[in-house]
Amino acid sequence: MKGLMIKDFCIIKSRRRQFILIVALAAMYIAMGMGGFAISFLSLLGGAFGLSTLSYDAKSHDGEFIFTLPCTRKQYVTEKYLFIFLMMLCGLVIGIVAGLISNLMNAGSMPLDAVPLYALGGIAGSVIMLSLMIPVVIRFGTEQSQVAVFSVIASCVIVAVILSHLIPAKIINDLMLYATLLPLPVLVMAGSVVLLIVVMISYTISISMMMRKEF
Amino acid sequence: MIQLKNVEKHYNNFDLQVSMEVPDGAIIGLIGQNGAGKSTTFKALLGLLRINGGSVVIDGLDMANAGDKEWIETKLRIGVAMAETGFPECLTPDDVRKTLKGLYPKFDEQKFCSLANRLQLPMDKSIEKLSNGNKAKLKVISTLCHDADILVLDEPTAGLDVVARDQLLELLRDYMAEKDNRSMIISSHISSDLEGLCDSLYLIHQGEIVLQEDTDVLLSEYAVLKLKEEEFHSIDRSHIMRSKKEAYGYACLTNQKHFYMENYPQVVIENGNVDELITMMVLGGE
Repeated sequence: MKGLMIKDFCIIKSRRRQFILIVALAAMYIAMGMGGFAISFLSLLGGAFGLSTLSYDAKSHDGEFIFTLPCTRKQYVTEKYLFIFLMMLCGLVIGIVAGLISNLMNAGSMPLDAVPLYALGGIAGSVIMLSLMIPVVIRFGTEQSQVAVFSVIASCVIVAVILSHLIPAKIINDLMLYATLLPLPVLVMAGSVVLLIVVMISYTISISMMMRKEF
Repeated sequence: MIQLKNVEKHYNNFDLQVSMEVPDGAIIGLIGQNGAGKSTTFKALLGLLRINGGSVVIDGLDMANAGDKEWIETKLRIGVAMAETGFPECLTPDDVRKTLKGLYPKFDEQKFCSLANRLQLPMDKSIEKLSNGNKAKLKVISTLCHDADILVLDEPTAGLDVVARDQLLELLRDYMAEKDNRSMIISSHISSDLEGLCDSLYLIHQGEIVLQEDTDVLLSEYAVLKLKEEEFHSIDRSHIMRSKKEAYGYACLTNQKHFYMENYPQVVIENGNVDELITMMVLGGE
């Protein structure tokens, strides 16, 4: 797995220009005083860079060569999740630094005590999006995955809209109110458990798709 | 030893059904037309596709029953170069070196660099910017630096000029000569590569092995008889494997060249080679 990780870092290194884009965006958010947004968006962007290594592997005959190397399909998928979430954390760190600088330059644009909340929100949003996208890219490949990701997101929105119509508004409001009344550590704990479940479901689906794949 | 025992793979418009053996220390060539099933055979051997029947056995281990650990241990002993695929093209040969070092505990960095230097392979240029020849060199070098016992090479010399091809073949010969137990299975469209390298050849046609022969026997015993119409009808055809109608009469493939040399001295006999063999076996009639 170490070799696969090195390969992915080399791929990212070869795409230095795209990394410069992250830094440029961070600088822009600093100048515009959008520190909070920088934290959430750059973590997702970092994860998306990690996700792009799947596409580079798949460019050559759907990545068949990778599986001639001494790694199993399960190891490959595990490495991808680790690498993508590691890249997401890199994006998050850059976002937090950008957020803090933005706060210094535009005094009060983002209260310091809000940084953890933005970071948690960024992590939650990115983890959910990436967990959704990884199995789709593994299943459909680079080209088709764009349509597939759109379809999955659209389906989620439709399900959410239908549920919001089926469940009485009072119940939803009560749940939201109850959530805001919970102490932050409990909320973080509950959120972490939900995210962990999402990642595990995504990981299991990805493994099963990779195991079924033929080259 | 590698054994493919009645391996079957069925697609909508193609069926593969092969049995092969690659003994320790042997160099086996797999020849055939485009689309004959060479790459599918390699993929079946490497577990890249699920076979519908038969088994792939490597050193006594049926790979269908192998666990993850056994698969990895086996793959650590194999060096693979595939025809149309390789490392992501945005990487450089130096990135490939780093990656292989992370994957193979026995990877010899010095050897990799020295071979790259010997074959004048630029280490800092991305693969997408390398010539076809240099891409082929990188693929082969990548298989030779982790002390692999088994080499699986699908068209390793494709796209190379004569000089580079000779360099690579010499490299492969030297590698095989280093240890007695090393074996290789190789496919190539260039018959002279295989004639000079392989101990034995398998000819695959429409997904089936139609001929297996030692290269020495093929080159010494196989021949094409060029027969006029009347010669074709009068000659003893019991040792004719395939015949093909030609403008002058018939071209006939035999595996008993000396029989015809002794009994029909007037007949024009051309020594067999891999190209003739493929043409006659594929296009000739019984």
